[in-house]
Amino acid sequence: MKNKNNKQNKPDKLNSIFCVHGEMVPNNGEDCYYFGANSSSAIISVFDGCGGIGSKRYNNFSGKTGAYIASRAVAGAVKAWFDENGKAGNIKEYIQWSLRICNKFADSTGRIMGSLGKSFPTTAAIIHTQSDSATCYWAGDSRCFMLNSLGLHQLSTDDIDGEDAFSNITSDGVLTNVICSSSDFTVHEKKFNFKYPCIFITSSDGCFGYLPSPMDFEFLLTKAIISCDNSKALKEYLNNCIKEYTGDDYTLCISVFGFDSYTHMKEYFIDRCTYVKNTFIDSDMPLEDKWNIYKGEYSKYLS
Amino acid sequence: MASNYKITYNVDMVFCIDCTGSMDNIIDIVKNNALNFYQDVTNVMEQKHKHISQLRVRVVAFRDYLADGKDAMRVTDFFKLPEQADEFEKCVRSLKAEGGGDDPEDGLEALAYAIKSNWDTEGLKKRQVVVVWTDAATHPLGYGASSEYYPKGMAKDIAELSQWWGGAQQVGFVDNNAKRLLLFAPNEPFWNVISQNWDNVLHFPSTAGDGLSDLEYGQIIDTISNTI
Repeated sequence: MKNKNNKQNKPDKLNSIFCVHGEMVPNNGEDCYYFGANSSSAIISVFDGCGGIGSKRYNNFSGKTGAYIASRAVAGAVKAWFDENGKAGNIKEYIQWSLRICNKFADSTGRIMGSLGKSFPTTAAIIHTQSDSATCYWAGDSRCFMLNSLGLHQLSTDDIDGEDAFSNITSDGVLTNVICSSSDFTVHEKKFNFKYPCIFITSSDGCFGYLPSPMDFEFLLTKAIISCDNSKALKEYLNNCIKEYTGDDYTLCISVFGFDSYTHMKEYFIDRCTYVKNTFIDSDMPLEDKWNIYKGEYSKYLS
Repeated sequence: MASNYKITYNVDMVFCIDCTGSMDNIIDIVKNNALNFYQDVTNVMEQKHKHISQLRVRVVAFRDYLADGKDAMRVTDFFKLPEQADEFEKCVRSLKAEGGGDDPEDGLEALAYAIKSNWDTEGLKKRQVVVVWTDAATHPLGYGASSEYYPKGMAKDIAELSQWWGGAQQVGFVDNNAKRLLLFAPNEPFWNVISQNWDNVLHFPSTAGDGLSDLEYGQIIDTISNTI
């Protein structure tokens, strides 16, 4: 379920939509993604199978882990939900349907018990854009973002037993909610109105969780934009950067709206990139102090 | 970009090993498993770019206070690895399976010692791992309290020991994010109570891990090493 890109009937203002993705162990990565567009809407989504609690392997699924299977099954459910315009139910119902199928064919003979194991666990971060509104759906620690001239904004609240978006990437907190078939879960939903131009991003923690702070993640994104001349080059640039620092599978889905051209987008982000570099990257200020300056704008959509 | 930024972990492990007579036929396997375990976890963490900046391991060897008196509990300080690897191996190799009296042992007291370890609290990211190898059920806490060697300040019952472990609603003596408890123990009281009720527990129901397949071992190491 890793590729869907119907650009023929893309909604007005959608400039480009793409995904950056890599695996630590080829063909065994536990991330998955789905993105697509039709005449009236677009969707970007990432799913990060939880390798810790989902490490049980299933013979009927080629010996793959529950985490590997879950991210793909849920990506398939989200594709079906988008393609069918939710005719058969809401997004959680589609996800539950896919997990029921996983359970039906699950054949693990594992004897390991205890609270650390869940069946088919995965995170999800989904942004569905229609006209001038965006609806985010998420569970776990994958994130939904919006990037504009005011900076990077996290739209989803981490399901982590932690303090805030900064501490959550430095303290290795425990997930408090994750999609799985062995217990109930919540798919959070939040709708935003937005103004063009802007960029929507869904990301697994392999992209932002191996950087020192959210400021570094914004710098990565804006520097990548102004360093390239087209979306294809941007995709390659991001991939090269992320694979250099990450220690995990990584997936970054991006949808770009409302720019007249790539050059327009590049010019739009130059000042912001320079500000982030001077204020947060090159500054000798302690990281916590930088975060205290940065977090107001970054967190303003979080409730 | 900050490509030289590395996530570092401080990892503490406590190995609780049943050293009663019934372990005689498996104690050497358990010793080897204990000596290999910390290496296997650290290898998987390193593969995930989770660099270990400090690794410490300690041993709690347990028997039965009423049957074994002063030899019921042997508790070491943390060995810092790799610097004290030889001392750690010597300690593990010196363990002998003897004594124990009746079938249940004082495994909960051993677990209590482990939970009250002098855990590292400095690093931002941590793992605090307790591993138990035993072939027997446990006595209730306090069963051996009439022994003059029974420790003072011990948890009075399983409910208090559960509080020491902590949970979503209360913080115990172990970091809620960092803690992992791995039981290689039979599916008998009170190991099964812990397995069903405590957070962050993996339980392989068996005689001290006997019969564990490579696949299952890989699953355990992945779960201990990864974020949950």
